[in-house]
Parts: sequence; structure tokens; C-alpha cells
Amino acid sequence: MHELVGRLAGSRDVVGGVEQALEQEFEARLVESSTLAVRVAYSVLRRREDAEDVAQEAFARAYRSFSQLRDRDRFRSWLARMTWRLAINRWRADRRRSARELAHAVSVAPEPTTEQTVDGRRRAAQLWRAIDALPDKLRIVIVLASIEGHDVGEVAALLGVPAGTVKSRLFLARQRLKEQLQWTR
Amino acid sequence: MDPIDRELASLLSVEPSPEFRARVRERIALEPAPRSWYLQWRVAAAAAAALSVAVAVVVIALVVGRPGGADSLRRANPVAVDPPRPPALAAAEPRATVTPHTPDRAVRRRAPRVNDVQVLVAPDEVRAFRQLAAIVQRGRAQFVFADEHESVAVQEPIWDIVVAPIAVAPLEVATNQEPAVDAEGDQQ
Repeated sequence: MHELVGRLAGSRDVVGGVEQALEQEFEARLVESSTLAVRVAYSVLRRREDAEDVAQEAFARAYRSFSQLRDRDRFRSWLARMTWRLAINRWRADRRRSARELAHAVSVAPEPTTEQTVDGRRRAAQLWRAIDALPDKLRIVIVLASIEGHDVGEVAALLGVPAGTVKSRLFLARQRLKEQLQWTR
Repeated sequence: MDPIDRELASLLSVEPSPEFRARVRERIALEPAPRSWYLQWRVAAAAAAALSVAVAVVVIALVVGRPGGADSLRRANPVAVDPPRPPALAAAEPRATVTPHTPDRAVRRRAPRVNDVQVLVAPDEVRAFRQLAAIVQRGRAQFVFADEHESVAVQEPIWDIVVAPIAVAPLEVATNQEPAVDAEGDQQ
């Protein structure tokens, strides 16, 4: 009997130790991936508060299935895609986006002269419009490539697609952005 | 770096607020603790084992409960089957019975009674006998014995056949007419 109780206590220690290790790993992932999640959400929502809400939801979901996402690359890839999906869903549900764009431009741009501010706002609005005009597949590629200086291989790993596909999509996205921006100038 | 990439990077250079991580920690504190995949795997394996045992028990119970199921399991070398007798034979005793066979209670075979008549079938005729029994059971054939069903089995000899007498008469042959006197033959 004593032996059985001892075994049970030992297995509880093992379970507790495993759970503690999982908590620590998740904390490390949170520290290193929070910027990625917030920026991905921000690229769709253009408002920091909304982006943080979405990123928080994505982290909560990641926590629920963290036992299957312990690998760092897998975690970041899953998180980026989940954040993107949640942000798109939220963006589609939000009908007051144009007003938020304006508010964003004020908050993001630095505060030099009035002329620079106006120019910067206009330029930012043009760029956002051009990004919005891109198909989802091209948009996520160019956004991820612009976040944290990801190269083609890293974007491919984040999206789970071949590097060649990322390269061609990046090329197409840049081309279309240039065309759009020339049109709007 | 492409100028567009630079512009995009500057547009997206948003840092999470200092309280962001604290809010995430608060949020996940409300979630149940993540369980390790190893523990989940163990639970899943135990559940799968229990399920397979339950399925095996149900399958065995179904096979045993099916008519002939246990028989097929337990009887390696089946012997002769006792077919149900047709009404014509049912009245006639003695009953010819081979080893009785009850599909619903196939496990226990009834021991032959003292007044039953047992027919011993040679081993090389068992198969033919069984086929015969099956045919009778399906109603495609019937045992008929001459001494019990004479009207059917034995027919009366037929004596009243009358053969008509044969009359023989000469044949009537038609005679040909004489040819004309001044025919062509006379000229020749």
C-alpha cells in the first residue's frame, strides 16, 4: 500500500514537473513571438488595440494546444497563421475601418513639420490601399517579409509553403504594389 | 532593400504595449493548464484498449447468440441433421430419427430416447442422407410408402382395354379408259 501511494505521489510529481516545464516554454514563446503576432494583426487591422486583442486571442488558442506546438518554428508558424486568420475575420466583421485608418495614421507617424505629417499620412494611406487591393495570398507574404526582416526561407517556414512559391508571390506582390502606387500618385 | 519593403517595414514597425504580455498571462491563467502530449497519449491508449475489449466482447456475444453461431464455433465435425418430418410421415410411427439438432439450443444435444428408432448411416452415405433430408425439409420431395398409400403408390392394373377387330377388305382400284381408235398411234 505504501508502495502504491509512493508511486502515485511520484507520478504526480512527474506530471507537475511536465506541466511546469510546459509553462516555462510557453512563457519563452510568448516573449519571443509577441511582436510577430501583434504586427501580423496590425497589418490587417491598423489599430494597435485591436491588433493586441487579436494577438492575445491567438496566444490563448496556442496555449490550449501547446503540447503539440512545443517546437519553436512550428509554434511561430502556427501563431502567425492563426493571428492572420483571426485578424481577417475581425476586419471583415468591422464596418468602421475607414475611420480607423485615419486614426492609425495619426498615431503611427512621427511628429515633424505639418507638411511632412500630411505627406506621410497621404503616403501611408496610399500604401495601405495598395496592400488592401492585393489578394490574401500575396498580402500575407509581403507583410511577413516586411516584419522583423524575414527572408524568403523564414516566410516559407512561417506559411508552410515552398520557398519558390514565396519568392514568386513576393515578386508579384511588389510588382502590383508598384503599379498601384504609380496609379495613385 | 526594396523601397516598398522599407516603407512597409516602417508602417508595420509597431511594438506591443508593455502591458500586452501581462494581459496575455492573465488570459491564459484562466485557461486549464496545458497537458503534455505524453500524458494525452497514455490516456488515449488506455481508452483505445478499453474500447477494443468492449468491441470484442460485443462481437463474441453476437456470434454466440446467433442461431448456429455457437454450433459453428464448437462443432468441428458436424453429424447428421434431424429434418422435420412431413405430415404424412409424422403420423406414422416409428419415427426415424438421426441425432436431433436444435439450432436455438445448439450447445446441448438431446440424448436419444429409448423408444426412438435410430437410423445408423454409413459414414460414406451421411452426405447423401443429409441432402435428402434437406430436400424433404424444403418440401421439394415427400416420402411415400406403398403399404400406407396404395391409391397413390400402387395403381390398379388396367383390364378393360378393348381392341377393335381389324376388318380386311380388298382395295378398290379405279380402271383406266380405252384410248380413241383414230389416234396418232394408228397412223404410225
